[in-house]
Amino acid sequence: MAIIEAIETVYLEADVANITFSSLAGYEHLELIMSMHGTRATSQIYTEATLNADDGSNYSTRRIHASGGNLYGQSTSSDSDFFNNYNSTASIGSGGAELYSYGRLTIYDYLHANKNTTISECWTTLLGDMSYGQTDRNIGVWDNTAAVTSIKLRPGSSYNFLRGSTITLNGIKSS
Amino acid sequence: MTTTTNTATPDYIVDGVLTDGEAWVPLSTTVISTPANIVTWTSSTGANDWSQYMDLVIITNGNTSYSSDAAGMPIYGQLNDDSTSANYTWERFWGNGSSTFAQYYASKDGFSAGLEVSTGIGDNEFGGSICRLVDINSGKWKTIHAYSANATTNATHQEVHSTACFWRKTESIIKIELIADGSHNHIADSRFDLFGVLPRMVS
Repeated sequence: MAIIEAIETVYLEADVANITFSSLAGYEHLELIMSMHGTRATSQIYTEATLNADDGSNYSTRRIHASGGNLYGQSTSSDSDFFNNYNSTASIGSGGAELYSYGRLTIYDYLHANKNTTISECWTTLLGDMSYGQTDRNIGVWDNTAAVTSIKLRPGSSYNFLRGSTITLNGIKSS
Repeated sequence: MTTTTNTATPDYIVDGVLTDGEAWVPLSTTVISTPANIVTWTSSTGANDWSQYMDLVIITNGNTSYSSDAAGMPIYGQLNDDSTSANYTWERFWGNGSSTFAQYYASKDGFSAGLEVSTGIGDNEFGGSICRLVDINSGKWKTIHAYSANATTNATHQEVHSTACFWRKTESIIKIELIADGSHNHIADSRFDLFGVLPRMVS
């Protein structure tokens, strides 16, 4: 029996406004491996996530954030998605054409019907004139005990994900 | 040094037809017997043909021959024989049990493949790291992320790191060298494992 299976891989051959995964059943935990770039011309974007198409104010995120020589602990709550401004993603206006940001998002025990769903994420990027970088360790909770049946990724502020971005959804099984 | 490499026909090719199985494929394992400065892995054939993978993952458990006390001895990774420091850029945060730090390096001697403990701490103490090289066959700059957790029995030498790196090259990765910091060596029983990560291949 495979312990880690690739459920779905998405290669963006054109720019898109969002990406949804909805074939999730049969695993204990889920993991998204992302290599992302945005279409924003003036600055970076953020790679936000929602569960079960819930756009309500039900998401909280905490992070350790390094930017150049500065280190922060930050939090945000009652958001309409995970990672509200907490995972800077390379874009046309920030990061260079060949630079795609890496993210690994883990969703724990996502089928359980009596737990608020918890997630963790690591994120890397390099911005602006390449004079500094950023890296994040995020955690979050969705204030909803429903089993997760879909995951939607969207760039903040109505931008698009750029072609060339790739995302693989992995399922992790238990014994 | 003993290196075992998996060049078998991939399990996911059955009678010439692709199937989906494990997303992680074990490629190479190197265990140090005589102290060595560099561990080298190269793409070859069968399962060890790296052109079929999305990502590579390296798991290390190492100790270096540095005689002073240290819990954060870098393992520098160099790709495709590129030793140009300006091509490797880092951003990291880390803690040592009492303080935390954030640091940016425009150039380094390689990407961060993790950290080792020094023999000064003890030759039976090894540091653990997991490193992921992302989208290795794309035309992107290569993005690399390493987590290291080096807890030791020396209360003043503990380090935990998260390091983001970029290799400013767009070519596919076909060779990896893992270099112990400075002129030191990876000591006996240090272990380095390489895995290939497959995408979903069938609908």
